[in-house]
Amino acid sequence: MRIESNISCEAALELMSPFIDSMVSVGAADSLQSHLSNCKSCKRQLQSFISLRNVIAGVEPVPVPEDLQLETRVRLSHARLHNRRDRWQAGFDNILRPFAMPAVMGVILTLLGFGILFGGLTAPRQVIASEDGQGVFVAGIYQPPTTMDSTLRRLGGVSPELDNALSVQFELNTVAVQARDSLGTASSFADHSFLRNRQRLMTPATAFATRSATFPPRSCRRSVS
Amino acid sequence: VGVRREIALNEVERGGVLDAQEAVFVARLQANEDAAYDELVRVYHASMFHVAYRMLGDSNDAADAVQEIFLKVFRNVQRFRGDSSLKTRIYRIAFSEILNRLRWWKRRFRSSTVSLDDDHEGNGHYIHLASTSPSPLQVLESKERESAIQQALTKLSGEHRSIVILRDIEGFSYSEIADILGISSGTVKSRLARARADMKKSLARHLSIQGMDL
Repeated sequence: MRIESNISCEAALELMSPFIDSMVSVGAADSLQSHLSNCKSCKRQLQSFISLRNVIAGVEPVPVPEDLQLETRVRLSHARLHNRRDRWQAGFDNILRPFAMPAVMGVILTLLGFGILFGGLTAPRQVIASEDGQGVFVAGIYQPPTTMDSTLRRLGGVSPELDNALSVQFELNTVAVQARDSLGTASSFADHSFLRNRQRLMTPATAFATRSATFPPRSCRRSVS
Repeated sequence: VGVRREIALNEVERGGVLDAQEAVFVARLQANEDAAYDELVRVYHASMFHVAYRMLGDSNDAADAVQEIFLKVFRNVQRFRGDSSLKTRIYRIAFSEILNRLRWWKRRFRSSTVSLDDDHEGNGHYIHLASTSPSPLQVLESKERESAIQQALTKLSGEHRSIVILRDIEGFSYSEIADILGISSGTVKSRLARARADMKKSLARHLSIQGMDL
């Protein structure tokens, strides 16, 4: 239906909802009011929209459960407390944890440093020349240790040839001592001949063990001298 | 003249800038003050329950929703930068939660949903709203009107229902509704017109019996 207005009833109907909320432009409001002044049907429609809005706006508030506020506060309080703990935990993780590993490594390195430092400052261990397995020098000539036999036994036993060689060594040493006393230069010759003999007769393993026992570490020799 | 003045007032953009008092209150919330949260719950719990009940139609669901809404407000308050009023922000969180619940409900109980169109006698989901005990006529009419309005609201979609509640019950402006629901003002206007037309049909059928001319 079209009446003496610049908008149709359909257009007027679309404008009614925003019109009752005053959310139309001034021009649209004027057009609608002009239309309504000539269209009783649309005017009734507008009245029904206004009544509907009033009815809806007039609904009674729903009674709120009595314990809703308390329950909400308690639940919110728990959540906030939990969140506060999380924040402390997060703060601990973010601030202290990055320092934890360097701190532990620092302590370890400090202990190691002090250990090495104090270890270097302590007096060297006193080596006794007659200590087992080190051998002795008698009158400047090295005497094999008494434990050499057990060492050789552990490495594979003493062959008859080695036993023979050791006997020769003893005899040569005795001769060398006597010769040094008399000549003064026979000891080195005796040592050389002994070693040549022994290395020729021994297996590689026993040769190594015997050489180690024959030539003790430098510190041993130094302390003896 | 009155209409023109209201139109002019509505055309003034509501900036959403917090006033000093509200800014202080938000700062107290962000500082996790106990008293501020107590005040928040005290001020908003009733309106939140009212909105949740109108949207969900069940008292227990509404109470659960209210508690969840306040928890979400607490979790989001640190990100609040004052780009809108605190009330708008709270309602935005509330409607997000409520519409999520409605969608979940629709997915889960789609097959068992009771149509209110088939139940004009009030024997459906909202039977508790209608009083069956003897009572004065006005009380009975009021309760029946409440029931009819609630039924008409329930027939609307969640989006239309939320707009009607925000505008006609809670009294928000179009721009505030657009901010709360995350839609444009034009969409608010068109959806509200459609929702009101649907409501008018539903309530005309229910309320014309009582002589209400809609």
